[in-house]
Amino acid sequence: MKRLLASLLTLSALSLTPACGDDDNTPDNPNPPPTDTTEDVSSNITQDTTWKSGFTYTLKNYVFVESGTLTIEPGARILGDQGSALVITRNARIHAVGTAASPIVFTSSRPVGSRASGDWGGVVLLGKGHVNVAGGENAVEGFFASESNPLTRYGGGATPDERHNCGALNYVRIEFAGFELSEDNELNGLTVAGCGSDTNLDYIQVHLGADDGIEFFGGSANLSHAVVTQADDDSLDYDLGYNGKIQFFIAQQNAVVGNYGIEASGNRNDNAATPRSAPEIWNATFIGSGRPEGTSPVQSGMVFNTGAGGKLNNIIVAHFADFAIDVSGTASAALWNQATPELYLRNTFFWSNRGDTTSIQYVPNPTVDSSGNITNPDASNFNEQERVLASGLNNRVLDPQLADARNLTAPNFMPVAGSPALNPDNAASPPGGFFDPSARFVGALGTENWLAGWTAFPEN
Amino acid sequence: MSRTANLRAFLAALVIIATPVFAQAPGVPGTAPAPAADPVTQPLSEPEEIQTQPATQEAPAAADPSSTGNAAQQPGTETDPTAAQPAAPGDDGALGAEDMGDDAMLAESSVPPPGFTGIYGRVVDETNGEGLIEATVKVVTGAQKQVLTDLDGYYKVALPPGKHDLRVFYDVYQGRRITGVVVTQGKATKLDVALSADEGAVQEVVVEARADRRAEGALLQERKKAAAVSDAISAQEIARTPDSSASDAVKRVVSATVVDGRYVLLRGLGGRYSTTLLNGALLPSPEPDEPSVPLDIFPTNLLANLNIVKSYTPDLPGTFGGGTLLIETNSYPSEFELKPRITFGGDSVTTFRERNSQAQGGFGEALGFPSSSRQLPNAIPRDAQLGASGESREVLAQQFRSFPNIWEARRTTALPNMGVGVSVGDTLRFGNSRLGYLVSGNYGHRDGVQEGTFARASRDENDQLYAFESASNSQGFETASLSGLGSVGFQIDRDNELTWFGLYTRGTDTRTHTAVASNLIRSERQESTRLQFVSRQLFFNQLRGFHRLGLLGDAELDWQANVSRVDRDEPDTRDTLYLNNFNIPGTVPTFPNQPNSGERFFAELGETSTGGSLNVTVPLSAVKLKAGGLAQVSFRDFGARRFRYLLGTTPVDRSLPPEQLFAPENLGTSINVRDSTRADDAYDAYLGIFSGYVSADAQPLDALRLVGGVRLETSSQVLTLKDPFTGARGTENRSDYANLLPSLNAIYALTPTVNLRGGYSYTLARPTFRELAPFIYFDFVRRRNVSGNPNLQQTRIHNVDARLEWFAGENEVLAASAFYKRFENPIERVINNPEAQDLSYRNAAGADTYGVELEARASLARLTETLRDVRVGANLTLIRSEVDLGDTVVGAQTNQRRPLQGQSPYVINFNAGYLRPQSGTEFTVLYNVYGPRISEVGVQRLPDVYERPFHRVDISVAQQLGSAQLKLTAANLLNASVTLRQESVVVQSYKPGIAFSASLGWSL
Repeated sequence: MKRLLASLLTLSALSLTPACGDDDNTPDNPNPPPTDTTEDVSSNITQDTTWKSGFTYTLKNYVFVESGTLTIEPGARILGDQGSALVITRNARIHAVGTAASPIVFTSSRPVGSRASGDWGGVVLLGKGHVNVAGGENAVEGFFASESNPLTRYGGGATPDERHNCGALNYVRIEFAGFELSEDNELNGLTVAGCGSDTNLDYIQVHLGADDGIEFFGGSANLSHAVVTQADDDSLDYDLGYNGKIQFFIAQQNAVVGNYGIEASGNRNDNAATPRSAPEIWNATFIGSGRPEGTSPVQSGMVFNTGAGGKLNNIIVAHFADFAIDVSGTASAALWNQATPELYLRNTFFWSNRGDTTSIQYVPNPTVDSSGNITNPDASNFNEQERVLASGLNNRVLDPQLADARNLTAPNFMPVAGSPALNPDNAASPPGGFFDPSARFVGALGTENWLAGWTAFPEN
Repeated sequence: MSRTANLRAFLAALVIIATPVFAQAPGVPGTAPAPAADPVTQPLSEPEEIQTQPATQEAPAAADPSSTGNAAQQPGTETDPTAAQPAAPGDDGALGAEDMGDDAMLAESSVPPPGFTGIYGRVVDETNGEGLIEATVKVVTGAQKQVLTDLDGYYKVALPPGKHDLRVFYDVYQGRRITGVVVTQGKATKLDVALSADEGAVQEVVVEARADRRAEGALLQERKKAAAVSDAISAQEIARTPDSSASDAVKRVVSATVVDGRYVLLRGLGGRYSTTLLNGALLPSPEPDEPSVPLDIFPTNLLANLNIVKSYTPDLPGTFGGGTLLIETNSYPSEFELKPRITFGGDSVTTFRERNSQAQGGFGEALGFPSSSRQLPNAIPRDAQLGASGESREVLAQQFRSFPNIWEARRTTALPNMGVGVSVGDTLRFGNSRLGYLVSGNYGHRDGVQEGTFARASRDENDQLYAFESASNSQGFETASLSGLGSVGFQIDRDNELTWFGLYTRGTDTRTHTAVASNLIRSERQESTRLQFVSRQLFFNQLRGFHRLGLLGDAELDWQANVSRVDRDEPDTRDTLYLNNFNIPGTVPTFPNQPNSGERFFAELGETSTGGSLNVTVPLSAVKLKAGGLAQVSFRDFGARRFRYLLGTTPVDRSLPPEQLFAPENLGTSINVRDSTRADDAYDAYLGIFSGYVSADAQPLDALRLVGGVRLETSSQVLTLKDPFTGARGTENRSDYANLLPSLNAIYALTPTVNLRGGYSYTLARPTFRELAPFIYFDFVRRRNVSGNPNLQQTRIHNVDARLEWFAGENEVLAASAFYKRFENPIERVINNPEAQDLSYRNAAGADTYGVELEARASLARLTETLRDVRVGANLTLIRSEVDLGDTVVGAQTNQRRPLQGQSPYVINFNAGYLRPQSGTEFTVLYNVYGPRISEVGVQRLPDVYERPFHRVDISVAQQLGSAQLKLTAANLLNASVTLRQESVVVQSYKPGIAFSASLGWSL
């Protein structure tokens, strides 16, 4: 009965907007749930456990799934207290498979109306895949004193399991999460560290997350149908040798504090470390807020630094305040080459980045000493304007004509009818395998709105 | 009110405190004979004869006004038979010729008849040389005989051949114990004894336990007879240096290294490996970030001596690695004294220059008391998270506004440093009882500037190391310290004595940092500010007792009981960080809404410790047995709160400076405050140590002494995380250990002045609470976080020592040592998170350390008589250490072969002093350096961070001006810089500057 009611509510919401604008439209009991359907979780999980549909689980602190599989049924709701997070260690799995009609929602335990990004820590998946640090093993960010804590370690060491299965997240929403412990040491909405190619990440939304929306540390997990809305920092961040596959990705940048659509880093301490951070990405839409330029942190489409690459196809980068793309540092610039390309953009629309509707920005990377004096005007020696818009890459400055991509409460990322994004000449066909080869359009959406039904954009 | 007005008030308060002491003083000096001006041992010009004539006024250091010692450390009073030089029977042939009749029991004549077998001599008042009538000379070993001196002070006592220990005592004089006096068949051994009427009047001075350790000569004697390898610096020596605190003074000791100007390393080993004992009691550390006691809280005039024991004996607490620092505080002047002192100082980088300061504080803080405006506002809930109790927006906004809106650094002119101090002491007599006291109070105020650079290193695609972030920072600080010390000793009778010692120090430390950094990876320019204020206080109370039991062969009992409390309060540390991206010309710095920008941090730490120890020494004829125990329990309570300023929903100009951006009208609308207190921001901790030991000191051969024993030490260390709001106790992390600590030391006297020593012990080291607590602290200068590791294990250490030492003459020693240490599970400071370069601690599997140490102290009179007044001391320690990382993947540590973190490969100390007693002039030069040591272990192919050698040269000149002494000092004359490097990248560097001071002290 509840389910039916929920479905009806969802359907009614769908009929109004392509995506839900209000958290209350999700398949929850609109009345306060009876006490027997709520449960506090404060202890680590060491065996197969199921969180049931229709129940609400409140994470009181860091909860580590040490072993076994945590199954979360469709429609289950998980609330996080401040200082809490759900961590799937590398000896455990998660099976959180919702449905479009009945997604699994992770959100803040604070009352609706007073929720904010960073209210709780988020979801962390750890695996035994590769990570390009010495020793092939690392402690995940966001935890202190974690060096010797086996529960926060990831990576398979000398013999990484490239297929390591961290589990499945399907039709999952993560809201108001993320936790910035300190600079460069943060929990994100969803952290995927050292997960292999058998991990199943499909239909995931991270909304209003502190620090990054989704961050990959090493590994080769694949991701599809992902939406990151209004992350505090970067929408998609990958580091330390991540080289999975991503298709159908949408980023809507936070107007105030959002940094990059993609922040791609290699190994900051060792820019030559391999494997490279160079995922293959097809069909992604990155939308800035179009705010005035010149505020810190910069708001821009993407940055590739410290030896990171990325093979990007069928991409939209629009409305970023400061610039479209920055290839920063010689280590990443060297990957943009004809012979063994590990960094490129093809079939990309740039539009109105820093208000520019005719070109993109040349972003020099000056070397500045501690007194602020410029000692080298462009240390990267990479002119984005010339190199990214070079002929043959099919990149252009063109309005993708999206319906209402900058709407914060009820966005619509669909191209309108007749949009050049839908013109197959402007796009390439994905190669098949993991990728959907039929997606010969620019951006994350063609004619089917895969966001419908399970996403939500609550303000607080 | 001005600063000077405060000073006046303070001086007035001191006078009031001192007045009652004055009032009772008058009658006393009259009864007290003039004190021997100097505690220095007289040169042993006739080493073959026991000569206990006291040092006379011509003694080398007679001018030292701070010395109030006694003459107890005469060479003849040596307790250690191997080291003492009792008269050899053959040496008194001339005396034997003076045949004065044979009357063993009725000592009427000065010289016994030929063939007399025993000991004879005269007991005199050491100040006037007059014989003491009916003084008691008691043979305390074997024969148990007792005689009285005659009308001229002569005595003789017939004794069988062998070694005898004597006690000589007389009412109102301090008694003495003379051990190891050799009697040969048919020979009379001469033993003259001088008793001092008032020196150290409180106690009967038994040299073995009670030498006045303030004098250098005494210390060398102590070392000569000590069971363990030790180095020491005396009050006399300290007074000769420019040192103002124990942290300065301890640098003068062999292989002692001082880090950050306040923490001692022994044999180049870190704080954890050096225990500090204050009069035999373990001292808590008031600094949670540092595992050892900051020595700069002990002004030098409190110190009787600093003694570093470098080979372990079972009567010491089991935490022993590099060594144990024994701080002993002053005993009492024999007659009333009042010694005020005033000091002014400055340094080349600070004084009269602009420095960062804060728009908060006031007079109280200049006196060492925190301003109430820094405390967590009353509007902020203590027992609940801010905003978690369903507060309305309006209430929340009110709460946000309750914090002072002060975020920015101000500038002010740095004033000269100033210190005033006074000490008052006296000894009062009641029949056979004596009561001595010493009270001192000190106040110091110091301004400082530290301008430095900072960088973070990375490897580029060509594997070249480069600084991806570089910064310049400026720290302005102001410290005020207030301390009081009281010590009262009561000698009930000649066999029993009680001492109370109390110490209270408090201080404020106001630090204001500003930094500008460029981060090339982020293409960001960062401007950051930290306002920090810390107040500390330490309260330590100790009662000690010493009893001669009069049974079990004159067994002695000593004990101490202590209670201490340490508080460290860091209220309202404020961090801001503004950024602009230099990829985009013309951008202005804006508030980035990220960690460490717009944060307030409050922390309170309190630790209470109590315990005691007891030692019984039983001198049997062949073996001296010692047994005892120690119990010490400590409880720590720590709690922190954090608040972070975040952008709200209403747009605001983020380029506004913090005090405008966070202005009250913006709070609750465009800026919200989040209570970001973490679950691990509160803990309590317990450490209980219970131990007992037995040791035996035997002399199987005349020249060989063996000291061995075993200690059983059990400890329990418990760290419990608490809910920072409710205090509900959470995860408990507990480590219990019961360890046996064996040790054996052998001393072989190759000649009467040359000792060969060897020793082995198996000791331990514990992690500190700070290293165990998962609590996170942000290091502003290096822009990284430091956190503990609850999984740390205790370290065990095998120590092996060998030493050859030659006591060439008075105050002269030459020594060469070799040592080896094997560490099991040593704790190291490592970079934890390579991305952020955060710091934590972990156990390595092991480490091996080998060292050689050379030491010399000599008078240049050995070269030429004209240089008699020049004395030099030098020591050199060379250490090789290698860490053993074991089989486990030691994460991603860059170097599998490297020295133990914190271990310097060499330490050099050199000092030279010139003293001209005629004019009361003293000149001293000191130099020391320690070799590069790993400050942090590097990971992920980044090199280890090394602290570079710091070459320190200090000079001081002291001149006696009547009853006053003027002392001028200059420290760090080479203007050396503190530098941390990661191979080619200078990670941190600053120059502390050349410091000068002038002080004037009076002895009233």
